Amino acid sequence: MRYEFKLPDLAEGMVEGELVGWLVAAGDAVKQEQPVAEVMTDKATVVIPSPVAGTVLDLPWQAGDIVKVGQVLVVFEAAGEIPTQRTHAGHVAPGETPAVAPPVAPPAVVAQVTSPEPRAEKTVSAPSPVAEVPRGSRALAAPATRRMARELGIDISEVAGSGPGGRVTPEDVQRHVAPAPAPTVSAREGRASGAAAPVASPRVEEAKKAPAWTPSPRASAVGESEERQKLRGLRRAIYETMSRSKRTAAHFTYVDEVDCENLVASHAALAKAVEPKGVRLTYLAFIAKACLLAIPRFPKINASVDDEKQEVILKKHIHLGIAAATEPGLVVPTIRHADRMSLLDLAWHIQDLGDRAKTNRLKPEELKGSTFTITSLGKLGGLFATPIINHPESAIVGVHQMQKRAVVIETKDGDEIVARRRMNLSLSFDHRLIDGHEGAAFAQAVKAYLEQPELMLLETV
Amino acid sequence: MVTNSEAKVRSTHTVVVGAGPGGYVAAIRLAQLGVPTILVEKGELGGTCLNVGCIPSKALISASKLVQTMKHASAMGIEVDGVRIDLRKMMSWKDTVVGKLTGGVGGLVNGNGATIVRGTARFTGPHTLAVDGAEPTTITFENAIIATGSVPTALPGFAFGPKVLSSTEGLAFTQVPERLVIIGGGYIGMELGGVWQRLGTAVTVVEYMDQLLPGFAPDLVRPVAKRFKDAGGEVLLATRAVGWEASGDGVRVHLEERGTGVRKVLDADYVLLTVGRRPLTDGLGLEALGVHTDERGFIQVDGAQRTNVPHVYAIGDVAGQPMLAHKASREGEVCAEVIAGHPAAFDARAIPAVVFTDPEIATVGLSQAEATAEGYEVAVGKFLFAANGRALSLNEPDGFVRAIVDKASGVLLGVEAVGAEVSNLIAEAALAIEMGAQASEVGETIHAHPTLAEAFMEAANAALGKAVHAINRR
Repeated sequence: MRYEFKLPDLAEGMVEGELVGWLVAAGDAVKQEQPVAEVMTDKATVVIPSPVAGTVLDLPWQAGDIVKVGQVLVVFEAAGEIPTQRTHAGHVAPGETPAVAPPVAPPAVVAQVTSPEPRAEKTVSAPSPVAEVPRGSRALAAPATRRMARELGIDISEVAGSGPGGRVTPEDVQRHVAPAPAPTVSAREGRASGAAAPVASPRVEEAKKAPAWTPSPRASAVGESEERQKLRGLRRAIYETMSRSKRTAAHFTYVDEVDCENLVASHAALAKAVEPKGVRLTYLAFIAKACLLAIPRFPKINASVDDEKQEVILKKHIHLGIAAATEPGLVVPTIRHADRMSLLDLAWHIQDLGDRAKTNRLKPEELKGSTFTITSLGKLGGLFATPIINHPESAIVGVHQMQKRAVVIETKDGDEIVARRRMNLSLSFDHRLIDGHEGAAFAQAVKAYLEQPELMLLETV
Repeated sequence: MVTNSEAKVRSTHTVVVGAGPGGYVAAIRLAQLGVPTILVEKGELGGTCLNVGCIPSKALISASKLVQTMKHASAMGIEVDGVRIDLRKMMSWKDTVVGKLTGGVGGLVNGNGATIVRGTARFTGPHTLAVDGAEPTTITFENAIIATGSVPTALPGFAFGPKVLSSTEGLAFTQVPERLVIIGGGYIGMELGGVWQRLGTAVTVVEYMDQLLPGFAPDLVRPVAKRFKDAGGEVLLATRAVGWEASGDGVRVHLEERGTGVRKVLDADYVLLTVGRRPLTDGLGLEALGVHTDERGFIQVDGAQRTNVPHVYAIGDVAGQPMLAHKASREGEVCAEVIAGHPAAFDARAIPAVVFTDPEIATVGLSQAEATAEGYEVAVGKFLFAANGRALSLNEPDGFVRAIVDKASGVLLGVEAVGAEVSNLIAEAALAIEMGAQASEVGETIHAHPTLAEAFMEAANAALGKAVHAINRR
């Protein structure tokens, strides 16, 4: 059945969005919830999931087009049920995540915020101001089981019953909950709880205190639920490394802002030049190079402490760790002897390690031995961070996203505000080895290279 | 300074308007959950159900059935020479029953910590309610529950008056009428018609539809119609009441046959109008709250009993069909829990319905026709009381129990019964359906012998082709 999926109202007050790109092509078979498009709003770039399972018939827009809320975004040939679509979300209080969506909700949308407001992944779905509780549902389950489902925020009609005649047992409800770890209220949970949504009114005491504003009852509609997972494998390694680092190193973090106008120009020129070589030159390569050039002047940056012998180990080699987020967790593949490499080599290694990290093809020996680490937060760059030092190292550099900022520059006619591309670096040091002024001086050295990249030429072997 | 002309102002968390089986239950549960609650009632506590509905009618039904039992006791070897009815005493006994229950309601509401305010309620704003009573009061509230119930509906040409009576007056005759015309052969008309017939009135029931008790399966209604007619009752089906006039001390009712247009007149002492009930929201000030009603006057609610205005709830008759006290009470509990922040929802699989005719009719869940319409392939098991030892020993051999079962899953979908005491039997069926029971689970539950309840077990087994005391037709 043909289904015209209209651009939903992804956030309060949203009227339009810019299509960043398609994640599917016409003719593709899609599953429900499969990401189909990226749309940028004034607040966020949002991945739009498919509301139906079926085939993509038509993608009537091109990247860069502005699509208004309510305009047809994608035309599907839907295989199954077609949701009723509302394009206008109800009121969502700022910072509030609706816990219960209506039974037939517009697709939940995962928004990756790339705007100046740093927020983690946020789940947005269109709530109704009053959660709807359908009447007369005929769930085949005893009243106590139905109540249990309500308390857990589950739509019992979605629970597969194992009892006679398909009767839903309390165990079935438990099983339905268990697979989905629920540290926060996810869109999935929200939708699921719609039908049997226990709609709870504000607690009496709270209501008394603030009669003018009735807090949303939706949060109380979702019961508590948790799942225990064994700390195993990579997660256990991360757990140990991080806690050992925090236990031993005396972290302090220094943040500075780097003007990137020159860097952007250099990058643009060089990226083109290396393109035929099949190498993607990233800014990260420049940042790595800048750090590698600065380190020899600050030997304690590339050092570690032998706690037992109470000795400082100053390393003459630099094995550069590049922190990478992968599906199972954080890994830090290492570029050995990075200080002996050209910018081009660094770029190649960063790309190679990154690709292989994503596909889980790194060799064990590549995951150890780093002496200094860079962590890039990429699109989730934020403003500041307090990176945790990769034990037993003594320093780490956190890279934030480059953004245009209003900057005051002095001219002979007075001060002017201009838009310039800027990037923050958050550097954490082990204060047991590195004093504040030393850390700051290292940061300034790195910054100097990045603000005037040709300086790097002077010192490149 | 407060002067006498100013209304007293009270503030509460939740106000409940109407102290019927929905409202008083909601108030009690709210109070139990620690929610400050005021219950407003303009009449007597207990609403229609306790005062002019379920309870007084059942009292009169029992009394009048006893009369009938005595009259028919000769089959059991009991000869009764003349039964004298003291109607005034019967009515005062009925009032005593009602009084005990309404007094009990007051005690329960107060004892649980809710406050009762007497008077007529009118909403004057989203959070204010004016109560016009002995002591004019303005109540401010966070949440409101509308539980104002319903009132009997009149018919064009039949305004209620001294000769055209509603069910309320039909429960309070001081003298047994000689002739009664009942317009509307639904459950209220048939229950009241039965009362007066057994007490000696010649009763004629006029029904617009093609059967008495429309909505119930024809075979459920048949034993009821038969007994009514055997006792001298007259039934006019597919007939419209067009008007009436005073005739001597009584009334002359003009009727018209649906379809043919053939006219007919009936003389009687009174007309009892039982064509239905409508939700009562007149003068309640819903517009001040912003609460909408549908085209039939019902306040629409979701499964949490919430209206279109989030802090206003509605329960019972005013919140939609079926207009049954037990539905109202359950809704009252649900909405009280919702207001107190608990995850409650009205999600009953089945609401039983009982008609206290002679014999009684009771249903719960899906009828055979409903189940088929919903796409189930059904297996049906029917067990006659004529084959039930207890029914025979009660001298009540009429009627049957029918189990409607989903063939694919074996799940019990509905139960329909007609016969003695089926009003009490239906609770077990409701529990079975609510628990999602299989017909086999009912059949494999040991039922005490000899009881009427065995008929339910046998009906469930019959649906599976396993009835013991009947020939299974497959």
